Amino acid sequence: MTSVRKIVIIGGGTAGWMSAAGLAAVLKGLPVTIELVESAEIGTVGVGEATVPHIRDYNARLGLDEADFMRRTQATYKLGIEFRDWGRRGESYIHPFGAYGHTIGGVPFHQHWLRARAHAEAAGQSFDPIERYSLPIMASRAGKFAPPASDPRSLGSTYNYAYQFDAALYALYLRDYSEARGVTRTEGKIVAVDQRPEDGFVTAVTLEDGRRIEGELFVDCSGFRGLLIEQTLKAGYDDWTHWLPCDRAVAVPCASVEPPVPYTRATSDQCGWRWRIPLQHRVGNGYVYCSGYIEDDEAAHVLLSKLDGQAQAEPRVLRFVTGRRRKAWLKNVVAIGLSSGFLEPLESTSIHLIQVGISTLLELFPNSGCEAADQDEYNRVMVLEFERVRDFLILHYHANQRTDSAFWNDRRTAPIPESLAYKLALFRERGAVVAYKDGFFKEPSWLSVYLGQNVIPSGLDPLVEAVPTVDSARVMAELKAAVARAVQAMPSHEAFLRSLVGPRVPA
Amino acid sequence: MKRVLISGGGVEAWMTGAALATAGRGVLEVQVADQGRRPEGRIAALPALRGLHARLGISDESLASEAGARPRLGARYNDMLEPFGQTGAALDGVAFHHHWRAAGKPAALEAWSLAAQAASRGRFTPGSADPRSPLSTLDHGLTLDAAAYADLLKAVALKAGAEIAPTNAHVEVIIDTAATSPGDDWIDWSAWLSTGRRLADDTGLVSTFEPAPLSAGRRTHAVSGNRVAIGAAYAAFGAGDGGDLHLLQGAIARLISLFPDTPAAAAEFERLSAASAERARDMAILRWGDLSAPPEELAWKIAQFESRGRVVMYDEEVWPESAFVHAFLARGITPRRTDPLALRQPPERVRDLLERMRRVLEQTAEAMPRA
Repeated sequence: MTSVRKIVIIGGGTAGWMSAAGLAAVLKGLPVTIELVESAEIGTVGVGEATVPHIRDYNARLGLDEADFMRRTQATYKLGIEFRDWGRRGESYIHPFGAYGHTIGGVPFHQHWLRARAHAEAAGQSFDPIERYSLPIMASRAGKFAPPASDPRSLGSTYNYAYQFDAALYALYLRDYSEARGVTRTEGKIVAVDQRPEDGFVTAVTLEDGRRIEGELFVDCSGFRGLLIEQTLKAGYDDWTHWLPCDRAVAVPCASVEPPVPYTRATSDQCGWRWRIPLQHRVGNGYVYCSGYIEDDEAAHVLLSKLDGQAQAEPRVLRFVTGRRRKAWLKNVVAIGLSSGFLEPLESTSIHLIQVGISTLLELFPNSGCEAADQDEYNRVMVLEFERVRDFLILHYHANQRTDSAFWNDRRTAPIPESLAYKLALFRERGAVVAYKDGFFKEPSWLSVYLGQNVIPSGLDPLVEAVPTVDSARVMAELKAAVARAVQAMPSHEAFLRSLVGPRVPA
Repeated sequence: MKRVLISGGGVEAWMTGAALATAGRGVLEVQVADQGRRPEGRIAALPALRGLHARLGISDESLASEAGARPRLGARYNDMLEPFGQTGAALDGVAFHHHWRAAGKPAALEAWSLAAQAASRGRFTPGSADPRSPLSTLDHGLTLDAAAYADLLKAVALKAGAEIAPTNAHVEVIIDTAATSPGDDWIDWSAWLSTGRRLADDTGLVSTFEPAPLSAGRRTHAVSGNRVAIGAAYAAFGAGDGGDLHLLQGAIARLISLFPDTPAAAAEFERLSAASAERARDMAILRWGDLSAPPEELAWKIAQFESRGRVVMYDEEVWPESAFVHAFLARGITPRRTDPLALRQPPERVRDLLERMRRVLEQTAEAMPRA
């Protein structure tokens, strides 16, 4: 079996250029050429401009300079996501990139907090919200940012960060990177796909002007339509809209009216939720909604009425079907990005799922035969990733307490996957989080949503009582003070950003 | 206070008693019904057991003087050494064994294991936590005098507040640790595992094992009513190589993090118990079982390793990746292809690099004191 000599990437959006750059960086040293085909006629979908901390691993693997990358993509730092009005109206919580406190007497911190909360409630006293014990949350609330400390014993090492950036600029940046490393870019609209008669492997694509581009491995980054994976290979699609019924989004950038905050915001609205992503030069906004409950025009009107500053473009409507491609890798086609499935950007996972697709493809980089074993293992890993993100997203909808709209009442009462019901039951019973190895969202993430949306367990870990209340109260008080001091000492996000990327330049 | 009775005896019961009494001080009233026969001979333990000793405040010195503990650096299966710790180091984000194959296997894989190098020289020192030191790749397990070790754990348990159960004690939860025999509620694994393994020789730094009779399988439920089965009371896969004790240790940690006395916690305890027992079972089958028709998850693992040397790690694995690499190779399961990412560097450069790594390990081993 021969090695892959030619990779063709179909589509030049975020997924396409991330794939091109990732493959070019990691496959360096192998006799393989990479060609990316994109059409200027077909617009790209900005898959959300907010990311999760794994993006730092990707950038590091490419050897990108942080300051240069942030300047070129108008990036800001991100310590978490603020969720407004997801529990009861008027409430807010932040899902941080970091843990809440540390174990006390071998028992998880949140158990101590839940006990203290129960005692305070019984005595009719007030208690501190759990966010007081999280450095990234308190820094976000104060509009501050500093990179994590490297010493694992330091409180400053208990968080991680990601970026908020202009995805179109990021794609351009990665295009420069890729072209500098030998990736060929070809412009043209694909009008035909050739397959090998004996096994259906894709052998070439033909462009409108008659050019024919051959390859041995095709990476389909063509977006929702899945030009190769679906239109050609009919891989099939698992529709998850019965669990996540939002099927449209309207997006519009607006002018900033304040310095950028180091977090993304997701605010629930009558028929869905709105995102707000502060960049250096503007704010990205969108309304994700369900077309069964609201018309496009009205959704655009709602979005425009709630912007911080002047809209900078006409609102653009995107349509999608939540779900995943049954086989993201089939024959010699690997679908990465929207062609492999769609999950709404509530937890900024679109770019993360692109990245998992790229790194898993590299771990299983095939020879030209694309053995079934490679396809099977790739699909096993991606199913786990998609399903675990899916359950986490559904939790946000299921655990809402808004009673002022049909949409939210329906979400609260709609059936949920058994896998999520199982996780919820365990948390409700004693505040324990179901653990797994694969999948992005771990205990602190689940905790933030459960507690942030008032899913309060009826019982506790029985062993928390092995730690005297006074001992845990003392540790908690010390931690709260340490968090407050650390936040006090941090520079503002704006100041830190400017020290790295330089003064603000008009866009 | 919740009254918990631990039934069984010897190492299993007292290890459970010591850990529960320590973690549950003031919450759990731990009683141990030591019904079993006094254990005999020596037993093998994996490196991870040392973590439990640290939590229980048991020092290396007291283990050596009171329980006859001796370090071991690996085990021999099918005439192949499986060393503890790390074998080689990942290069450029690609696991070591891929580079070793791409370089044409310049020597046996264990040449890049510090544990193997030290063992072959009869030398020993504990590993280091400093990631810059080659000693950070070293890890060691123990062999112990079973009866003396049980006594030591008993002393720790009693000191932490555990009691010897009176007859007819009234308890709320019963934790079974005694080896079980197949009954109605039994999932039979004997087609894959007709025998187990027990310690044969531990006089050197590498232990060897011999076949031992076994009825392999697990109970359908770890929790039924107020009875919780852990360790040998739950699953039997005959891993006298330290695997049995390792699975028990995992179950004890699970009792502490998820005491199964409420329905959802019991369900999660069940799920995790089944998954970790099955992963340990798969390793036992890989080491000494029948591979003609392996369980689905193991078959997938074997297919992936045979195809391209990928080590699939599921949730709740009890063995590290490098243990699987050695175990596959020891059973003659070898990859058909070399990972393309291991071919990015010219083979002679990889060979040079490997040669240098090997020399560092050899020198480090030479500098260790005699065991």
